[in-house]
Amino acid sequence: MPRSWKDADKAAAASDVGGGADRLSELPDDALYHVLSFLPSDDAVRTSVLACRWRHLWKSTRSLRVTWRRDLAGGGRRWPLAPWTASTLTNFMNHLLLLRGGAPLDRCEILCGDLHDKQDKDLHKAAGLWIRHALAVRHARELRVCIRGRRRLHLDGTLFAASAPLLTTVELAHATFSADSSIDFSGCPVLEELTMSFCRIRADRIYSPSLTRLSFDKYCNFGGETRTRVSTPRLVSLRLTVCSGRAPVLDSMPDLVDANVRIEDWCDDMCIHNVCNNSGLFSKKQWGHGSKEGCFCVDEDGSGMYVEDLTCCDSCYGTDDGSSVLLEGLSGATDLELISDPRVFIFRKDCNALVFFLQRSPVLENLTLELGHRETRHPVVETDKSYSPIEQLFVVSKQLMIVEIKCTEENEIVKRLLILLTTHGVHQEQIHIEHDFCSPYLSGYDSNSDCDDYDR
Amino acid sequence: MASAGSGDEKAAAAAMITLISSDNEKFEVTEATATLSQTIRHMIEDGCTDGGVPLPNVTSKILARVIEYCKKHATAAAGEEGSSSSFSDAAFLEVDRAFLEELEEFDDAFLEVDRATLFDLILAANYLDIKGLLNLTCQKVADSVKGKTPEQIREMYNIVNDLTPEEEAEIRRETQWAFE
Repeated sequence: MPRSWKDADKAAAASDVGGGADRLSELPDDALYHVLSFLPSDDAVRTSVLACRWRHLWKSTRSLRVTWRRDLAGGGRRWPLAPWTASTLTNFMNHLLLLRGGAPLDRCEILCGDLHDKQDKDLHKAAGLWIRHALAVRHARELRVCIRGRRRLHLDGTLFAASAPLLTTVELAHATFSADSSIDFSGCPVLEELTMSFCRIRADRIYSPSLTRLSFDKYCNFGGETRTRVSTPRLVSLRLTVCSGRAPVLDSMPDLVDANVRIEDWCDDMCIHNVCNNSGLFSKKQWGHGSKEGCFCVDEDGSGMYVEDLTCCDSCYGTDDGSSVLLEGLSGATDLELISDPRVFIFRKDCNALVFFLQRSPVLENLTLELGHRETRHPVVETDKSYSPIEQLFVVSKQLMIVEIKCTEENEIVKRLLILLTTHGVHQEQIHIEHDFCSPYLSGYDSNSDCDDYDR
Repeated sequence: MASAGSGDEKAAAAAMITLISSDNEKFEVTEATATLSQTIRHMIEDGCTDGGVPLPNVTSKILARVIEYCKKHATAAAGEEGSSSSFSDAAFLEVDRAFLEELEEFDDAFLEVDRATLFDLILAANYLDIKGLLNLTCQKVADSVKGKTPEQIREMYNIVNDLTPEEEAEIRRETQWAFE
């Protein structure tokens, strides 16, 4: 491995015209700052020992990048540096932020990945301070943070309420926001894009007056006692995957164009009765979060008899007025994918409320429904028996062009959906059904493993 | 060329800018291509481009490459403007994606130059203030340096270490936190 690097370097040097000149150091300062801004910050600082010319250059770069240091035993870099630990990271960041010059930080990326020690007691507070400094003092435009210690990085939701006048992009991974707080981006007037992955969000509210793209991707856990309320009135694009916990309440998003909503198996919005396969109800204690036992979906003897106390189910919703959790926000979408196991009762009600949704989505153009992988029993079918299409006749969006239904096999739920859609003016030819569909997201992995706190 | 042309051609000619390299070669480019350079954009705004824009720091060889880059990316910018408002459907996004991929391939091929040319391109991009080109070229240099020891970098770029051993030791002590 080392040999090939060296050979390549030599070959490159030999091919240069006037190979002896130091063209790199001759570049003007601005260009060199720019080169250094693309380097991981530790590499940039280490250039200070190259020559006199390089001694202070790193201090004026407009980016901060902490990157993952691979365990180098397996090759990769020639110069083995120990992987980050909580203490080396803290030491590095404190030195860097205090010793660099006053240049703004356009980009702040702390993507160090796994920390190889357990002493991260002070890390959470320190990281909060670094972020605050980058946003409020150095006016960062882009912020990306992924620090995996023993526990998820605990961040204070008020971090973003202080002034961050130029911040446009935020990506957070493996962070947690505590309950009784609000993730408040009111201090970020030009924020456009927010991505959270592997985060645990227990905050009551996420608020941004300017956000246009929001993604809760890759196994976010909404584990709060009350549903998180997402208030982003300017949103255009939404990707929401609820892997555990309870789906957030979406406030009105009139500009929404495309939405992809995935309610995973095993989240708290799933009907546990179907999980335990009619062998009784799990106790509240076993499940950790409340309201489960209020959802009486009793099938006493496996005969298929189905009783549902919708009032109780409504109480599971956690919205004061019993209104739908997702629909308020999604009704402006023109392109929508809804993906869920049919057992997720939020969807089941909303499937009853699919009607409701179609009524309230005057601009919908594409609708994709993905219906889980396992076929046990489908309360939605039973629920729909009480539903009379004639009474609730309405006209769906005139712009609705395509409805795609993806399912493992054509079953009762699909038939019911077809009746429902055609009754309301969707033509048969507009509906595409994909059989033998096996969702890559719903099968074959343990969704819980990534969602839990590492030390739980 | 446009002297005996129709009205349309005259309108097009009006939006052309002449760039003059250090070795006095003239390049006619559209305003859209030229204004990827903030430096030239400001000159146009100030109305001082009549009779051509002399670029005494850029040779014809490098200017030709720079124009090649700007032409490609100006088309991309124009495409984006056209698409932003009215189209949002999947088919259009598909086209967008294909175009972005094409642009990436162009950039990769564009960077396959010897090191002397790369530095000339950085200087030109810096002088002409062409953000995309500066990012592209500086990123390439940064990638070549990433993860290397100071000794390796010096060897690679013929950097003469003019620090005394004492100075070097002092700097290493000062920046020990970045070597851990």
